[in-house]
Order: sequence, then C-alpha cells, then structure tokens
Amino acid sequence: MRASHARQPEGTFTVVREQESWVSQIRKGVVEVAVLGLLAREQMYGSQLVEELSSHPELAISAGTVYPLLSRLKKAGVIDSTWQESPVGPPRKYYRLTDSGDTALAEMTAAWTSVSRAVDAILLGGAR
Amino acid sequence: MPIRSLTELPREPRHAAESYLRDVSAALQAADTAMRDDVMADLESHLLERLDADASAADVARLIAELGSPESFSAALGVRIETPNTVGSGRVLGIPYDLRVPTSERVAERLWNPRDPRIWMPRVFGMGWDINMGAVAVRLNLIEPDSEDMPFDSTPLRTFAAALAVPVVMTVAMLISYLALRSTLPAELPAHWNIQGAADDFWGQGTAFGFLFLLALVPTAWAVWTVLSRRPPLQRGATIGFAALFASIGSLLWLLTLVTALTDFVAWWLSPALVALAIAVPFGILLWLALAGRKAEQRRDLDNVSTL
Repeated sequence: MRASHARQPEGTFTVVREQESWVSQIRKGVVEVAVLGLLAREQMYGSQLVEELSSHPELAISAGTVYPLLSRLKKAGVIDSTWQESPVGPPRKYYRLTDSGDTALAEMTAAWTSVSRAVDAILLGGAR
Repeated sequence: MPIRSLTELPREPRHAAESYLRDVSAALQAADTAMRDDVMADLESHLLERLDADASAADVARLIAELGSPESFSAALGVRIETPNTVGSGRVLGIPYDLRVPTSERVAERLWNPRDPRIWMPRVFGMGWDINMGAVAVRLNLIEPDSEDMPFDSTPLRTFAAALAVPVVMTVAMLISYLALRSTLPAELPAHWNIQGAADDFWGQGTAFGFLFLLALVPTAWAVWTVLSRRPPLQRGATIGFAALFASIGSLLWLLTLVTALTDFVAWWLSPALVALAIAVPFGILLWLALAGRKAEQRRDLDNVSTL
C-alpha cells in the first residue's frame, strides 16, 4: 500500500482508466435485467426492444448487444419467442418472459435493490 | 512479528512465496508496467506483514490461498490472458491472422453471423478479413438479425441437400469437363491473366487442373462430411457456404482457363465478373438456407403462411 501512494501521477491515470472500465462493467451487468424488465411489461419484437433500450442512452445498449443476448437468454430458457402476424408488413418474432424468466427477474430485482441500497448507504452516508 | 524481507524466511516457505510472486507477475505481463509494479509492491508488503520469521510452508500456502490465484489478479485488473486455444491467432500491424486448423464452428461464426453487425470478421484461415455474409443480408434488409433462433436450426434437411448439391455439381462438372477435353487442351494452360483479361503466364495442364480441382474438392468434401455426419445445423450451413465459395472460385477459374485456352475470347470484365460471382454464389446459398429456416419457423408458429 505504501509503495503505491508514492507514485501519485501514475496512480491518478490508473484511477481514471479503471473508472471507465468500471462503468462499462456495470452496464454489462445490467443489460440482462434491462431486457428482462422490458419484456416483463409486454412482449416485444427485436427492433422494438432495441429502440426501447436506445431511449436510455446511459445504458449504451446497441443492436449488436441485444440480438446476441436474446439468443443467449432464449437458450437459457428465461425468454421464449414466437412469430406473430403484424398489422403492417411481414410477421414479426415476439419475445416474452417464460415462468423461469419471471423467477429470474424477481431474483435479479431483489439483488439489484439490496446492492444499490447498500451502495447508496455508503455513498450518501445514510443509515444502514 | 512481521518480517522486512522474504530472505528472513526459512528456505522452503521462502521459495513458495517467491514462486507465487513470480506467477502473479507473469499473469500480469500484459498489464502496464506501473500498474504491475504497484500490485507487486502491495502484494509483497502484504506477505511480509502477515508472515513471521518462523513461518512454515503451510502458513505460506494458507496465505496464498487467501490471496487468490495469479489469474484472479489479472482478472481483477481486466488484463486479458492469452489462453492456449488462441495460440496461432492474433494481430500483426493491426491485421488479424489465424493459422489454426479451421473448425466448422469458427467458419460459422465468421461467415454467417446475422446477430453480429460487423461485416468484416477476422479471416477463418490466413491473414486479413472474411465477409460476415449474415450481417450483409441484414444490412440489405433481406433478413432480420433474429430471423432464426439459431441460424439454419429449422432449415429442412432437403434444403440442405439441395444447397449442398451446388458445390458438388460444380466440382463434378470440373472433373467431367477435364476428362472430356483433356486431349483437345494444350499442354500448357493459363495460370494468370493481365488486366485486359489476356493470359500472361502458363503452367502444365495437369497442374492447372489439379490445383483448381483440389481447391473445390477439399471444402466440398468437408461440407458433404458435415451433412452426412449430422453436425449441428449452423456448422452444416456454414461449411456448405464455405464449400460453395471455393467450388465457385475453382470452377469459375477453370471455366476462364478453358475459355482462354480454347477460344480467342478476351475481355477485361471477365475477372471482376468472376470475383463477383464467386462471392454471390455462397451468399445466395446461405441466404436461401436462412430464408428456408425462417419460413419453417413461421410455419410452426403461424396458421397460414404464404409459401415462397
């Protein structure tokens, strides 16, 4: 510990760099819960989901993240998809939560709430 | 009572501690020097603080277990470690290369990956990039990224068989045309064409045919094998696409060879047309497999689907 404090300029640089990757790590961690959360409200098709997520620019989620994630979530059995007729144009593939997806989202929501409450308590100095 | 240097430890625990430090340092090879120095200094002072001059090897082992594996340090710093399966691939001057034996999984992931928006993917074998034709099809609005749950998963077997027939027929046609024209062909065949489309370099008849034939035959045989051995659909489709690419290159070059050897026909547009065709054929085949897969999925979910 002592040794690292001696090198101030390099230390500062390191902190800035770690902060950037820290933000992207947080984002990576919440993509799943964001997608499941949206699908819990209503079933959606791929590009609708992408559009919905891009209205939250702080999450920085692009189509290139969403589609591979949908494939992974479907393989994990937490979401399911079916083709449905569209009132305009060709049929669309709609995604919805499965029962195990409901459970997974409930668990994630509980974890998110408790973690963010703990971090808030530390950062804002609130009571435990 | 903390020690001031690892040399104060007895021989055995000292070696254990030193080799741990060496391993961590090696795991952090890819981190920047300042960061690595910081971590190593912290780690060493932690060891000194927690160890006594009469610490045993077991004490050191317990302390090391508490600290975690060398890999956990690199993971915590976000340092990517080269795992054994990435040996043989990497980048030179920013250009990706891959000298590993191609697997059907890797071909699939590079050649047809509609969920990945990148069009240029690191080349399956050799240096440079391959075209992710799935991303091209998405960009052209021919399919959606999630048109199929998994590429070609629902594609009917007969569509696979029909698609596979394309490179097979091309390869067989090469062989038949060679056997039929063998005696009428000159001993020397064009090996290279200039920008005007005229032959400017030659090689022996057998070499010319053998080279182009093998170029088509090997990937085609591979595709036949993936279909017959019931490999997963994505791998089947991708190797068929790969075979179609090489069978097109081989048979179109062979066609060009025959045309320039047997006739006086010369045209500048022959080579560009050949390149365009060689790319269009596998693209068409992969798209065909994907559309058949989408159609099958829709037929499963919807009551009445108009047939193509």
